[in-house]
Amino acid sequence: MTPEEIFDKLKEKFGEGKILRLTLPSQNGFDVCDPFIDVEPLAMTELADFLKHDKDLAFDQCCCISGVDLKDDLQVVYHLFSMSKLHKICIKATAKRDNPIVGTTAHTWGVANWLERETWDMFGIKFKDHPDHRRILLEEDWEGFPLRKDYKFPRFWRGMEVTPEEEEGTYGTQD
Amino acid sequence: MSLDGILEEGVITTTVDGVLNWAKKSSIWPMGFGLACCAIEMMATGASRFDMARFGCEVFRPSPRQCDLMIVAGTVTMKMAVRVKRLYEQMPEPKYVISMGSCSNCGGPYWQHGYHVLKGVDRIIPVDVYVPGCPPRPEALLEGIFKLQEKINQQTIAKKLVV
Repeated sequence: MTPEEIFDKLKEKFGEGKILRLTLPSQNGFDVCDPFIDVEPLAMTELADFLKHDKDLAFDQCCCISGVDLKDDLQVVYHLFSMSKLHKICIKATAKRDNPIVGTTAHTWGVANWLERETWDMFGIKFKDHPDHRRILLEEDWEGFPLRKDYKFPRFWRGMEVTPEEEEGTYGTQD
Repeated sequence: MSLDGILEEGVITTTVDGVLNWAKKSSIWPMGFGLACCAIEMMATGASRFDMARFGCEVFRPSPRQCDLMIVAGTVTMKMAVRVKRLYEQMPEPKYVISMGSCSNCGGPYWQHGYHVLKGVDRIIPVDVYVPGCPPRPEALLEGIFKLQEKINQQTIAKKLVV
């Protein structure tokens, strides 16, 4: 199926309130960008279930889940691929920065369990109804989410120096 | 002082320090653990081409309780630093540490923007020999082991040499 057909099918099923818009590479000025569909973050759970189990869509593989810091918002990007239909689509769910919650897809794609945990670990995006909502790479007592643009490096962690004194203030992500 | 002519043939005299140091430096058993790409070079050092066995230190042990030497081969992340320290504490005396590669020497490429990396393993455990490189070649690790053997050879039972 083409991205337009996928978009129309989703909009028919879920309505305009949940399926926001389709962006094609020609529309946003990038030739190499994948076509992507913006969706309502909390609709992700039922949407994922439909994307996988509908016999025309059949997105049986979740290739990748990424987090994006858009300053005002936080975004989760899903790259999906269908092994049987050989088509692909990119789904973007944008949540507000002060309380970012996205519906989990872990019950649909097994791999999403760990990928969502990593997104939580790095960006602090919560996944509603995730079966095992813990950090995956960092320890549980780590403070902050390292890949956010406003992340401040801790000076110490468990008594060990994270930021050497002479480097303090020069660390961290800079604009 | 010589006892030549007093003892029968085939008997060697030496000092207690000499024989203990000879035994220690000739059978350094390293711990079989690697943290990152440096571990690949460490494996090469142990394998037939570079053959650490020539110098008596090929016996990689799977338990810290049987080890004399910890080769910190790779990036020490904050999460792993806690484990590295515990492993060091579990090793019996006498114990030695080789810090292998830039990451474990000083944080290496993670010096900036590396919130997850300890900036040098010497911040948590005492290091005897530093091997520079990213990663160091097996020859460099062997040289580090020779330096450690030299260092062991200077020890006395009266006091562990602090350099």
